[in-house]
Amino acid sequence: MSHRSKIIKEWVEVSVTASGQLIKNSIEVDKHAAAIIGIAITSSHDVMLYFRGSQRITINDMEIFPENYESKMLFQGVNIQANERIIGLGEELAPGNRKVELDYKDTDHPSAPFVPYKVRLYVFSRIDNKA
Amino acid sequence: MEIHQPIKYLVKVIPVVRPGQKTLFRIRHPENALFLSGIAVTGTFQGVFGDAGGRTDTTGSLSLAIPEQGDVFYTEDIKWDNYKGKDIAERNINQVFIPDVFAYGGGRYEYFETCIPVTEAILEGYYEDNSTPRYGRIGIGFGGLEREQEVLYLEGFGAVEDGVFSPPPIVVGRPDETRFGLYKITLYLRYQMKEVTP
Repeated sequence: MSHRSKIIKEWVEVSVTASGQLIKNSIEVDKHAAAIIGIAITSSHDVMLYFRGSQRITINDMEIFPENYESKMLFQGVNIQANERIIGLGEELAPGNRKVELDYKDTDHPSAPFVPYKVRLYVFSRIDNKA
Repeated sequence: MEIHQPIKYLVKVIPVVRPGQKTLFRIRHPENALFLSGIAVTGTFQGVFGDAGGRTDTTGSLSLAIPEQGDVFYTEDIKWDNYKGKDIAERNINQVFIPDVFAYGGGRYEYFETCIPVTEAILEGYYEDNSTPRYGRIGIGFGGLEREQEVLYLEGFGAVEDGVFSPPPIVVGRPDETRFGLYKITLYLRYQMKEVTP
């Protein structure tokens, strides 16, 4: 019996429509996910995300990135290869209740006057297939 | 059943509200932390005077110590954040083919990798601001022709007026605090956690 695994990429999105908003959203990862291996964050407006964003991320009710964790610390430029754009979590996490929550906070910054933007959190999971 | 958390991040925000501010702070390590595996620092200070050569691009310095041991184990000069991922020296080099914004020219922030065992409960930190816009008013001229002029002070260089060095001025008053921009320093600590048996 061979054993194969593949990585799937799911996402949850928030739309920031006003300055200073705190927006919450969540997803449940795929029911076939055996482990959550990492995350990535992107935006429709990179400068907004870089300067104004901070977030709290929980997986399976466990706080992974605490409040005030700036988005710039998770932000990745195009110089990072596509396969390396997964920010690890120390080790693979059991999906548990499969819930991934994003609390995104927008904060004023002089270098980035507010315009509406979207932020997307990607969650990478590993699925094991027994063939 | 307890859930094992392999790493834990701790965030400490230091608001800087006045020039030359000195901040001593303490951080309690998380419970079940095995060792400190990574340190990162960011700042939101924005340069007031642009990118002119000769000016500092450092907002201040931060150090971390274990108070019981009197041991400083980490120091860092914090740079301005200009979304370019470059310091002043690099920006002054004319790089034609390299995009000038972080999203295209930069990569991503990484942690300073370390391995500091958590043996005490408390970590002590110190941040000192040196980003102070050294504006002030000085008297320029001689023989009854003195006039007051707003200038930028540069340590060791006297004053700069419209980009031209003047002789060291007679300083009148202190740097203008109203020109100082509020900013914050954010310290990130990444801990490796102990294995918790379910």
